[in-house]
Amino acid sequence: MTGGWRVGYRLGHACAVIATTLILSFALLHAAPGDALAADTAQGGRSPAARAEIRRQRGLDQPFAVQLAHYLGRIGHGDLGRSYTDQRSVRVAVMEALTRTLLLTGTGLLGAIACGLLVGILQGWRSDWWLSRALGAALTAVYAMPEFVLALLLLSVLAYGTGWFPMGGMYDPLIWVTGTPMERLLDTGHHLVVPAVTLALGWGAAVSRHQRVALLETVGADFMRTAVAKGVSPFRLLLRHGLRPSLPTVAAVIGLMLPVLAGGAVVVEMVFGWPGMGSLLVRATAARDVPMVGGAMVVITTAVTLSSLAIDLALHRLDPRQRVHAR
Amino acid sequence: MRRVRFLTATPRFVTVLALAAAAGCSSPEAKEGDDNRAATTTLTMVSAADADALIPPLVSTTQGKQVVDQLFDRLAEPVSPVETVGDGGFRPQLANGWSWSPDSLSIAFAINPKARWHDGIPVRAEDVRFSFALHTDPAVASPQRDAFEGIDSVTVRDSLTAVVWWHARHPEQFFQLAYNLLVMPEHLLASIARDSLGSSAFADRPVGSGRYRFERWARQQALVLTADRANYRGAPQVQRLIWVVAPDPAAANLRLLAGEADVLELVRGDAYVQARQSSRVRTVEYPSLDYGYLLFNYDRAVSGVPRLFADRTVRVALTQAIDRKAIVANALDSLGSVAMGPFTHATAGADTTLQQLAFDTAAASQALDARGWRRGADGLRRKGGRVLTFDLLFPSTSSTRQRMAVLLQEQFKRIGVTTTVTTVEPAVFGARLEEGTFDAALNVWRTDPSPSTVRQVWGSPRGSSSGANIGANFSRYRNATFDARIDSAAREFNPATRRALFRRAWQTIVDDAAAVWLYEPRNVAAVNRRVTPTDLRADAWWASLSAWQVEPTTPP
Repeated sequence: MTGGWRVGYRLGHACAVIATTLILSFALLHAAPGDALAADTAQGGRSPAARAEIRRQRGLDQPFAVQLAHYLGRIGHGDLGRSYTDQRSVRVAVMEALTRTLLLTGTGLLGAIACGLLVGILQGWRSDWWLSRALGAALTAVYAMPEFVLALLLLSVLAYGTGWFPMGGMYDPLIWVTGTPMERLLDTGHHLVVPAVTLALGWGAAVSRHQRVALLETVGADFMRTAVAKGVSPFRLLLRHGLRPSLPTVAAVIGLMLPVLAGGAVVVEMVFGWPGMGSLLVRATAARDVPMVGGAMVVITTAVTLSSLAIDLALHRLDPRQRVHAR
Repeated sequence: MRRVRFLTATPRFVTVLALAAAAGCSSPEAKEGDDNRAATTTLTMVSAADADALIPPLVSTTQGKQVVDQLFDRLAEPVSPVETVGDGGFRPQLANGWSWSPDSLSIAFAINPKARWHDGIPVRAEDVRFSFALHTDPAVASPQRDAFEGIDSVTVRDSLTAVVWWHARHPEQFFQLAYNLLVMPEHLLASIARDSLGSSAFADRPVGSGRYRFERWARQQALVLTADRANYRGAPQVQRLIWVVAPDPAAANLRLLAGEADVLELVRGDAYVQARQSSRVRTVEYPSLDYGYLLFNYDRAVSGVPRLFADRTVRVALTQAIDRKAIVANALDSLGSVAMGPFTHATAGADTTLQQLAFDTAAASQALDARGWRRGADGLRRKGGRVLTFDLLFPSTSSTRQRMAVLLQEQFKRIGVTTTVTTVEPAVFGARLEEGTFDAALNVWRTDPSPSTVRQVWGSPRGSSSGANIGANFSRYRNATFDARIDSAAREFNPATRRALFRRAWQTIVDDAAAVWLYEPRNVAAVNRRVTPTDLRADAWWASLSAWQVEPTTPP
């Protein structure tokens, strides 16, 4: 299959996946027990008549098939609708949340790649060095730790303990109101540090483990011994002969993390009060906010399928064996 | 609020550079920003959830109420503690006076001629008429709509006089209107379709007449109100109110302890202990209108017996089997007390001398034996080969009720009654209560300041048993004597007689063991020591935020 056909085929596949996801999420929310409008019924809330009126306004009194047809028709025309919970435009709410999530997860992923690759290379290249072992043990502990524990630990130490960083949110409301654009930018960066470090440590641990294993396999290979015998310098040996064959494995691992970029890091977002896609999806699902869940699903599914396509193409380029198989 | 060290210490040079850059392209907005940098009194509340809406008839969450109560005014403002009979418990707010008609079927409110909307337009009687229409329009589907039942209409006598008409006089007429009606600007809302209010531009940037004006709202992050310095009631003490959202309770508490927030409205468990130990924070107690109870489903067949819980003997036995004091102490420690009935200590005319059903497992066992539920060799009670068992439903979001469910399960087991516990998310919990698809449930009810509203929760459902309008009476409890006594109390104008009548009604429902009255939480807020709260009302602790004493801070 040529590159163009390959991309075309995958894009068609992506459209089918998005449509299926939308139908499934709609059907699941429809079938889920309970009634979002009745969530506050136990403490009073709206009267049955008021809830019936809201259902009528939202078309929820129509048969399932009619509701589904309207829903898909609207999305087909690019209209993601309005949120049931706060009446906002879903497109605006999702794009805002996506931007914030990409800022957080993108920073976290870059940190994870940098930290994971460095530690992994150190562990693979100098496996008997005490620092390698210590870093390995530390990252294994981080890897084994539940994300919310790590998040609360870093929050307690880096933010509460030292006071160097804010406790949560995306910015200081006072700076947000009174600050200059530059101060707001710096403030957001300041708020980004601890949640991004939380993600970077968790993901970096995974990257380093795979990098270490891949590099250890390469280090023991015959061609490496040949290179050493030919007098290749250690630095060149690592960069040119050691790292390159291990890259596809690590790229695949990083590729698996890409969908999270758009989907949000739910736990980290909830703990740090970062208003991104993860927390949006959790809230919308709990509130049976069908338009919001649908809008988020469109974005996340598109991101997952596109990132999977991107990784596929990258691996195709990085690993010559795949090109041979493709022929 | 704590200064952010990062911006004030380390990269100060970056700020200097930024200011230098800004100096080259200064704008009117920048000058306004400089003006904002004077020492300000700012109060930051940290909250688990964001406001749901900022248009009063659309608000259904506490967070939303906290904000709209600052933005919009009532015709008259209740004073603490809220007195619901007559108008003695109110002071002028948007109306600077009112007069009753001779037959008490209408009240004419004189609007303060100095009152202005935040856009400068004067507040007029038309706005009152419009606001009433908005609250009661079925298309708006307001959660507060039922609160206006019995009010016929609002008319405009002249531009500064609104007259409110009732179908029949009752002691809480004034409270009913003044407490529930927030007045909104007709000139900004009239052109918006009633079913699209929530998606209008006004919903994103509301304009009120309150002592605070809207400044900014980033959903799920922060909401900022700023003092209306030209307000007809005078500028408030606190210049800026901020609500920040922290969905994780532990993180919310840390924000308070670190000084990033000033107020956390409710602390429990570890958060309470940390607040007590903190040098930065102190705890402040305020009255509660919440009570927690175990409600029985009267219409449900339980253990194969139709309407098992409609049998008073069974209910009394189950109530006597429970050591409520021990359960409350175990689940809430000192942050709660045993509930006395369908009211709290803060309810007007609350009576703490009601005679309660005592904890008595022997009496409970005897009563169940007498009803034919006898213990077998395995310790379980059976009748006609069927085990006496029922399911206990509660929402997954309440850790207190989760602990209580386990303790109740253990205590029922001691008298041979088996229970299963089911936890569901709030949306399912509410739906199941309403549908009646539960045996027994643990619920918390926030009462209205008016004791008369107990009728909504414990008054007999209207209509036939199938398809009856249960209101919030999820038990489907029916007691004509209680109904009559509550109605008599609610119609009584004389305060002493009224109190006595309510006492009689409450004793009736307690004696009838309509539910197991479990607990009344103690409301404890944690506040930064630089803040001195005043007048924390049971129904709205935020009502006097504008008058709180707050030490000024300089924004970074």
